[in-house]
Amino acid sequence: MDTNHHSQPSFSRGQRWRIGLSVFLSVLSVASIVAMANYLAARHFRIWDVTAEGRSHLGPLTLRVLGALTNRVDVIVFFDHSSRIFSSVNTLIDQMKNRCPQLEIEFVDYIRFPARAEKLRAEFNLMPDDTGDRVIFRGNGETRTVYARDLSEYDYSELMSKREIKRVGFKGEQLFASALYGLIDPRSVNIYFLEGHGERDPENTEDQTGYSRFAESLAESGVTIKTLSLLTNAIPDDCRLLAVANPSSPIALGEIRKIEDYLNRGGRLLALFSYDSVLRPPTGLEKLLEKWDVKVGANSVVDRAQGNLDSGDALVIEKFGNHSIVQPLHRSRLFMATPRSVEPAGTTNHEGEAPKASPLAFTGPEGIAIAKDGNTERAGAISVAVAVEKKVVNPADSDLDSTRIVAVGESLFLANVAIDKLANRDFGRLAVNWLLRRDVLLAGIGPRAIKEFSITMTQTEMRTMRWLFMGVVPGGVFFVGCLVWYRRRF
Amino acid sequence: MRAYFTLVARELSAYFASMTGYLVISMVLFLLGLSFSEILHKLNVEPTDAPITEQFFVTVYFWLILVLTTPVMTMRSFAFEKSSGTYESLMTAPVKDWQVVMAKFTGSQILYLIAWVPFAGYLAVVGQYSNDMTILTWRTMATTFLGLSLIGSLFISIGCFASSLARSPMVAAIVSYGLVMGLLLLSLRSLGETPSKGWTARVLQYFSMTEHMEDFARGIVDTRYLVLYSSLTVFFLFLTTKIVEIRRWR
Repeated sequence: MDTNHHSQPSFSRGQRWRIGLSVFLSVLSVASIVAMANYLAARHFRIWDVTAEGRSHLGPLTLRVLGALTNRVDVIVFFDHSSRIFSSVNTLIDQMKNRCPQLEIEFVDYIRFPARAEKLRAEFNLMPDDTGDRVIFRGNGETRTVYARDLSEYDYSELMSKREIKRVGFKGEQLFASALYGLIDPRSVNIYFLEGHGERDPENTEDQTGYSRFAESLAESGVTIKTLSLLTNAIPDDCRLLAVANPSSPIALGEIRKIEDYLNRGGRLLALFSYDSVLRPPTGLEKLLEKWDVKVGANSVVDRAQGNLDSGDALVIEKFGNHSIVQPLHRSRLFMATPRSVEPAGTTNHEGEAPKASPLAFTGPEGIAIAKDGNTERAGAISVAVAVEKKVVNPADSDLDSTRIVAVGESLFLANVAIDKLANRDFGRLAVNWLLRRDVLLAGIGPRAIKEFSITMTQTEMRTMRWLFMGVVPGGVFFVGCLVWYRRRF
Repeated sequence: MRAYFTLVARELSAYFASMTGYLVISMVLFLLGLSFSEILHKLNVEPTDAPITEQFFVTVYFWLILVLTTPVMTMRSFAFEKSSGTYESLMTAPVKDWQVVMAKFTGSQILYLIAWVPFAGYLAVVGQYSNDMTILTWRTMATTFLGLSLIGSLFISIGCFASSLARSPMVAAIVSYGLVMGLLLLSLRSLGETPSKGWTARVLQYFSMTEHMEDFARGIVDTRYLVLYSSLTVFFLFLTTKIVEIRRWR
């Protein structure tokens, strides 16, 4: 039957227009409500992390740093997105962004988008072949860089037995917060490296002796590195840390007095030695340090348990003291060439305003200190690094309210050849941060524990699973469907 | 409400009395199987720090499941009724238009959720072979299913809308596929060099379903995602209702 021929329109043209307009307006209204709801949701949102371990919670100190950001900060995540650590970085950056709208995030996968990567390399003066994963923070005219290699904490305990190094911690929160803090408080911090006595040179790029990589690492955290000769100059007022890295000839008495005066005014000193200096006349620094409760032994330290008695092989340090510098290193190790012993002298009474030395790193219980005549001086757990702190009465500058010293019996561990071995770079950075009092803000941000998941299946089990998942289960459902179809049809 | 439940039951029986429901479920299971085989192989070779739920949603298979199956599920909802001539009798029955739309949406949503139920079993099987049982927790499972359900709702509402526009189920599926794919492409910012900062980037990120699903799989519930998916689902269902009402204006 042809119904079209007889059908009459139910509504006049005018009525249909009115209905059409009404529908259009109602759709527009609903669309506006949807847009408004989403606009409000984007501005006022809440996030719940329902996991038991709260993987997505930011620490209170990180929140404080983020809350203190008032100007826009560009965050460039210059990463290969297939990198194992990228997922953790991405998650953390998103969490920070959710808490701080001032962060302007840009993800750049330099493998997939080489043109954009090239532009950024030019912008940040990176080498054309520089493909190191990193996160760059830029704000208030300052730039801070956090490298991917610094983001993980490793467990080396199974290195010998299973040849396996486990990634056990993610230090992104600590390092990103530190970088952001550097942008908030971009005061120029100068570290002076003493020169004139054969010290390690922060500009030297040689593998064995150069300190250029250590200096670069410090510069990335917003520090200006300078060299200083004390023969004719005094220690400048803007010196926030004096580094004396393995002097090989004696330091003149006048220079020692300048250093002593600087320390008495609340100065900071990083003193590094090495076993070969035992064979040379004392530098004068050893005597100065004694006044600060530090005894630098005229010996070299080895560990019988590591079988390095005669070979002069490296010493692996895995025992740490109870000090904020080394607290983050408790599952890590340091790689040192044969160090000198450096320990609390016990010559000062630890009361009142006296300096107090705390051991930082020890050998194992089978450590031996060998005197320069080759005889065993003593055995046991021997300290090779200490930290000293002493309050200053009536400081001229509130930043210099306490003298701080870190002395280590070895200096090669921060040289270009060894700085990336085990946790050496971390130790260097932690020590400098403590000396510069940067620990005040960031000490409480620990690494996030990383759980690594894996499964253990034989090839047969894998095959069975594959058949089950891809064949039996979907095939079974399809077969039931065929049965239903067959029964209805026949 | 009785009419609504009757219509939902009618929808479900239509799926399971024909091959459609079984075909959709077996397609989902096959793609899930492919995905799990890949994940098993990966985890057997190299450990990873991401929970297994997160591992799954970064594979292409999950999105393939959504993009391919939701148009097939919804293509018959209105278009098939029109092509088979049952549409008028349905619409002249004593039920409101919105009840018909909601019943068709609910029927497809239930089929969609049924198709995903074995996913939980697959996860449990993988968990049995893991070195650490926390690879899988009920909390992350719950948020994962919440995410699945929200994204599925949106895609199904788009499918219902497409089906209400077309007279042929095939055309409905193609329109639905186009809309869903377009929305998904907005999410896949990593495929092209899209703006990575500024307001455009923020809008794209707001719509980035891949990032939303990763968060759900990590155990994160964000009110922005809840509002986005719920409001868009309501919007498309509203549009569908208006399309269905068109016949009354003639």
